[in-house]
Amino acid sequence: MKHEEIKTLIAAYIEGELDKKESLLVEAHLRECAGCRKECEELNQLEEVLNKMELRKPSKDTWDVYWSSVYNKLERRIGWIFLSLGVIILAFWGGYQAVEQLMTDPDKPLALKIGILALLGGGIIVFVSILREQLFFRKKERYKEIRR
Amino acid sequence: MDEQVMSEKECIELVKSGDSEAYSMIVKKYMKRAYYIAYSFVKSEADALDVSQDAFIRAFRHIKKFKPDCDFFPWFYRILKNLSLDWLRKNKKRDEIPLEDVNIAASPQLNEMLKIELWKGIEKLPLEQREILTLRYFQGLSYREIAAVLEKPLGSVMSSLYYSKKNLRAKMGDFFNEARRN
Repeated sequence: MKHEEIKTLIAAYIEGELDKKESLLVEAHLRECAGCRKECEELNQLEEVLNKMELRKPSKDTWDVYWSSVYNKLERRIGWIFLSLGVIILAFWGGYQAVEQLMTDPDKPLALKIGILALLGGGIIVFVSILREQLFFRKKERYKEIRR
Repeated sequence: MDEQVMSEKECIELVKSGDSEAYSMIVKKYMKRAYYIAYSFVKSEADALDVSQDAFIRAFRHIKKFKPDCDFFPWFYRILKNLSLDWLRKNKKRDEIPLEDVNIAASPQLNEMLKIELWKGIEKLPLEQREILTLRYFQGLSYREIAAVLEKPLGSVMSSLYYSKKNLRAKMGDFFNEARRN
């Protein structure tokens, strides 16, 4: 093994993560190489300090309510999906009724009917365009990679 | 160990059939780890809780795509990391973890300045190096566990940790020796 390759094993050697054969290799190298010996000593000092370091723990209550928070969020999201679906269906139904009434009413002026049709046509084009963009974006979406 | 692996796999199968009780076991098993990993990215207790919980929700929604022959945590870790990085993109990056959030276990021979310098050094490391040090020292994962989580070969984890520590040591400069001498 080359000098540079052995150097990268020093941290793992200090932490006892090497197998017997690798440890012997590093030990033999350390006996011969003063530079690596110094580096080993420095990393050893750093290791001592790193092992004593920890982040402050959140309060115990945090963990007690953690799962219920996840569950509540999950439940609320499902609720929002149904709520949104209901609003969309009702809006479409109401819109359809209103447009149908307007279109079949002979008293309403033709310009109004054409205007409404143009409005609907434009809305549909914009909706399809956004939908297509979203679907295209989704193909490149980062989270797609979670499929394994 | 095998029994633990089996029970987790059984749990996942139940979760796939919509059993939220089974999912609570998975969440409770990994919530602390998820929180601390998210914390190392977003650097705030409240945001780390939000991001880690959102990751569990996303994992639940995608659980059917999870392959039964894989370990749950490395798969979950990718979701968590992606969400944490998304959070960083959407929100103003916090430059530092508040120093009062860092505990160095009571040790009279370590002075306060060493703690500060060590923390500043970690903060200055590139994200990948900070990530691997977090997994190793705040999570206490073994080299093999880190390799599984990051989906890297063991040798690559060894060299990454070596360079991370070497870099950290260099960032602390002579302060390290002086602080230890005092």
